[in-house]
Order: sequence, then C-alpha cells, then structure tokens
Amino acid sequence: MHITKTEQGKWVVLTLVGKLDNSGAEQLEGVLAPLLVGGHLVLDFKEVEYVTSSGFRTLMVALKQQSAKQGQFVLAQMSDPVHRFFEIAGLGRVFKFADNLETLVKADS
Amino acid sequence: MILMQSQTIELRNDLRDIAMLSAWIDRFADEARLSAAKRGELQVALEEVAINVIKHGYGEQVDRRFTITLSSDEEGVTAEVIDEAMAYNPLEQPAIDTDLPLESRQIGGLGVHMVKQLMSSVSYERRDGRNVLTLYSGRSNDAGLDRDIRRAG
Repeated sequence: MHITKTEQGKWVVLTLVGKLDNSGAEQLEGVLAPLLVGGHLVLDFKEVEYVTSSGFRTLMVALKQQSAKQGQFVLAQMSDPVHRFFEIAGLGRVFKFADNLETLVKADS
Repeated sequence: MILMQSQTIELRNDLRDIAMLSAWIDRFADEARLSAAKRGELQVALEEVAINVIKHGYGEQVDRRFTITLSSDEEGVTAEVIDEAMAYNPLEQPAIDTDLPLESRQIGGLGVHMVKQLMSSVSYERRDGRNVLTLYSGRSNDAGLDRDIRRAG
C-alpha cells in the first residue's frame, strides 16, 4: 500500500493506494500513530482495492482514539465494492463517510 | 471462454508469506478473468484463512507449511486450504455481534465472519490428520445477496 500525507486547510489528508490488508494495515498504523491526537483527519479511500479484518482493526482503533480526543476521523471517496466490505463487517454505520473529499475539506476549513 | 484451471501455492507459517499469497491470487484472478469484485472477495477471504492458520493453527511452531489450491471454471472458484496443525474448525468460532456499538465490539472473530459472509459456502473437514477448509464462490453470486439462502441451508 502507498500512503501519502498532505495538509489541506485544517485537514490532514492521508491518500491510500492499494490493498488495506495485513501489511497495508501495519503501514497505516505506523503513519496514523502520531496523527491520532484529535484534529481533523480524513483518509482518501478512492484507490483502495479492498479491506481485510486487519485493516478494519487498525481503522477501529484509530476511530476510537480520535473520538476520545474529540477529533474528526472521516473515510472519503470510497468505491461501492469497498464500502460493501464495511457493511459485511458490520461497520457500515460506525464510521463517518464522505462522498467527496474536496467538498468536505472546503466546507470545514 | 474460461478454461478450467487449478493452481497450488505452498506457504510457510510466516506472516511475510501473506504478500506472496496476495500476488499469487492476483495472477490467478487475471487468468481466470474474475471480476474486480470477485477478486477482492477472494483476496480478503484467503488472507483471513491464511492468517488464521499461521496465528492459531501453527501458533509458535517453527517452519510449518500449508497449501492453498485455487480452481475455477465457468460456475465459480473453489479454494482448498490444507494445513497439518491440530484439529481446528474455524467455523465453530462464536458469531460476532455486528450490532454492538464500537466500544463493545470484540476484535477477534471478524476474520472468520468476513469469510462466511463473502463466500457462497465454506466447509471444514479433518482428513488424514489435516485440516481441510473448502471455500466456494459462485461467479454470479455477489456477497450479501445470497446470504439468506445460505442461512436457510
């Protein structure tokens, strides 16, 4: 998985490309660790192929930590097939999803 | 036309082999002309199963092996996962409750839950001192759509 970090207004944007599988989750965990301090964090899922339970675990831990610090944790631009994995995992209503990254960042910066 | 084909990979009980598994599934999916959605389902299901074998089947044991055989035809794709660990049926894990709020969600069990939901059928058998887990995914079945039928059966 390739992960790039940019800052847009008050949002930190992580762009994920590839598989959020066991090794992808490990990488993401490392990138996320210093960022889970509250604030506005959005993960661009546009180029994510699929998510395994390792990926869900990393995302759930991140969401819990961000929520505990009153931060934002948003998953943006997810394709329908990938969103279906969230539904199957029973996480379709647990996370905050945004259809459009640009709109989100502009509306709240 | 889709040719019937079958391929086997042997993996070590080492999480680093998971990347090899993923690349192998991608090649198989290309050759079997699976849809992007089917490919993703197969990738997720087989990673969950392989990690289960590595972590729970073989545990701390060193240099153990297991095999995965993928075969496909016009109807669907079958994966057979064979390991030599102690008898262990992952399908007997208690179901997880996906209606719980995030704070109460248990971390374990999500992988097996995903496998059951994604595949058209999953069966376990102890055969000749080996664990044999067989996964089947029909080409026309989308995960989630045939779930009620599976539950009924």
